Amino acid sequence: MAEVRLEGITKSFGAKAAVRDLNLTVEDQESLTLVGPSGCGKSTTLRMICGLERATEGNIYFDGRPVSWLPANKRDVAMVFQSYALYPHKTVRQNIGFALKMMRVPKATIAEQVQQAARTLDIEDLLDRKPRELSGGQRQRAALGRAIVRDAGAYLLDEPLSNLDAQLRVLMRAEIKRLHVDVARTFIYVTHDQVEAMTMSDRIAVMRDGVVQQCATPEEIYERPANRFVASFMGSPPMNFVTGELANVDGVRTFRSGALSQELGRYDVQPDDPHVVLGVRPEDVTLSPTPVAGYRPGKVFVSEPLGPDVLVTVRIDGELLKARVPVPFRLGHDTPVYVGFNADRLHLFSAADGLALHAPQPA
Amino acid sequence: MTATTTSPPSTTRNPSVVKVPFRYRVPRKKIVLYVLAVAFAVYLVLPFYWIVAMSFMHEVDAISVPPHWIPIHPTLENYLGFIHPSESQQLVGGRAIDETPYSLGNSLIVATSTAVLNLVLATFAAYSFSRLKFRGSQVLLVLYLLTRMVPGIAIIIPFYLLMRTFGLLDTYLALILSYTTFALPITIWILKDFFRSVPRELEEAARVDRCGWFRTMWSVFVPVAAPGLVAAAVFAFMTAWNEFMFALFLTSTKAAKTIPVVAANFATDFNTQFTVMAAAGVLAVVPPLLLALLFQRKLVQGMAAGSVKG
Repeated sequence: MAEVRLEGITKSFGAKAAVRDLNLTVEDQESLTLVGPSGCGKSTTLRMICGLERATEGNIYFDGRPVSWLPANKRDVAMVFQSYALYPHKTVRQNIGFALKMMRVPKATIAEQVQQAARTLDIEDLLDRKPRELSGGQRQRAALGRAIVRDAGAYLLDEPLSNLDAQLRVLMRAEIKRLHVDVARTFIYVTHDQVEAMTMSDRIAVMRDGVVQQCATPEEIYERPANRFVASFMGSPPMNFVTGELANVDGVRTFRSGALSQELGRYDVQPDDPHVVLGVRPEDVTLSPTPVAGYRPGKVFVSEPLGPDVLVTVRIDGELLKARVPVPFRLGHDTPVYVGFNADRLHLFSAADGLALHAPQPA
Repeated sequence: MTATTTSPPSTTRNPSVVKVPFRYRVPRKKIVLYVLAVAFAVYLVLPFYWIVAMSFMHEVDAISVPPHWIPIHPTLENYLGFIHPSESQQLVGGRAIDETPYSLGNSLIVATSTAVLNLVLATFAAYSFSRLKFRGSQVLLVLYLLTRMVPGIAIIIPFYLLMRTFGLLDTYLALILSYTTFALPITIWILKDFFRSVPRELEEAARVDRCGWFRTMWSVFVPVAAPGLVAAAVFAFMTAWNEFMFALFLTSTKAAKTIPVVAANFATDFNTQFTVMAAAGVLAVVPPLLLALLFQRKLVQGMAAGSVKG
């Protein structure tokens, strides 16, 4: 069990920096997810923690002990690869027990621990099969088994669910989360899927272009995104953005964009530059078939039923806004509709650098 | 199309309609392909069959016209001759029959040693080419292949002089070193491509599973790459086993003469015995054949299947 600390980590491939000045601490027994679009440096970061890549600059510490110069086999980490990387010539039993064998653990102990790991993952009856005889989900479990059988300081998971079909992914997501609770170790999880990130971890580090944009709890990331990128990346469907400017209308702070005018009520931001971007999550958009005071008229562009609610895209002044409204929603295409925002849950970002100016205060 | 062939229900309702029986027509293209395939198989197999059949015949039957395709008086005399040659057999091809058992042993030693040496050197080289990025790697690879573009006859005299200088004439080492230079470039190319198909994650997984470099190679990489390694070894073995010209130049006695050189003696002498020559030919085929049978499974096995996604 270990606390993993990254200090000023930079990794360059030639002239291109994959990770830039990364500072991050993963607490002992914490589950942290690195999330971001492809090429954001999340896998590179994981590989550096693992010892498969060496940082160009900076240091990595496990429990305060510098490990930057230790190769992967001396680092006391276990890893689940995106491709599973099971040894094709070994049975599942041998695959899971391989690391223990390398650590010269007595045979009887290996057998016992392999059995226990297999029981946890419900793959006891697959132990004597070769990887090619397994389905995708079974391979994934075997790969997990290879990691959890170890008494490692940290468990690194590199997009372990990306090769599974949607249904199995949801199932395994829950299982890995439960596994973290059961084994109580440090988990560092890499994914490009924001739903996985939101659901699985104690904290999320959102990365973009090799830089951590925000590192916080899933709730914090969702409720108080640090910048426009985080706001747009986390949440499905993504947040709506409207570019406009701040103005005082009859002494009330108001956001204005074309015909759109939104009173900001108790929001007391005073940016130097009045050009801002208003952000509103689809679930904070309300629709009405009849005019309501403060609502803007628009037209239904398309509506997509999701089951418990409906995702409605509305066109206002040529811009498309998404609203998530409860069923039933019966307005057809191009029907006039009136759009209102939940004034307590608006986000404001600087138009210049995208940094958050204001976000709803926790209730 | 007519109603008779397209709508069977109407035939049951109207018995006056004549039902045309279904005729399977063999596509002409298929017949041509089969004929060509059989002709090619005969072209390949017939000479070998003739050698095997002849090795069990008496000389008289072997040279009779028209030929006997099946030995009518089968005999093991030709094979037994290699152990206890008769007087007439001893005279054949400058004592070729006496040298055959020795040359088989020599060939085995030379071919096996070439295969092993070649495999060790090529594995290291090919691994570097498949895993490391370094300046000039492509040029180097092409250069390796270019060495094979030089015809053997062009370099045989320098080779001969070189071996004479080092006192290696008529030794195994002369042949092993020569053959390794022939086989190595091609082997490196075969293995380089094969190694590239082995997922790098397997080695990384082994590193994370606490293996050092050598352990990673030995426990994970080599077993996964085994089919490629076997193919490369068989290729080098065959190259050495079949080689004639260098063996002819570099060896002179039964201390190092290989089977192709000795087999040729059977034909070059005025006192040729076709049946003994055929028996020697069959014996020369046995070791590579056994080798191919032994490693047949490994050769065709796709070991990497199932290791990674897909």
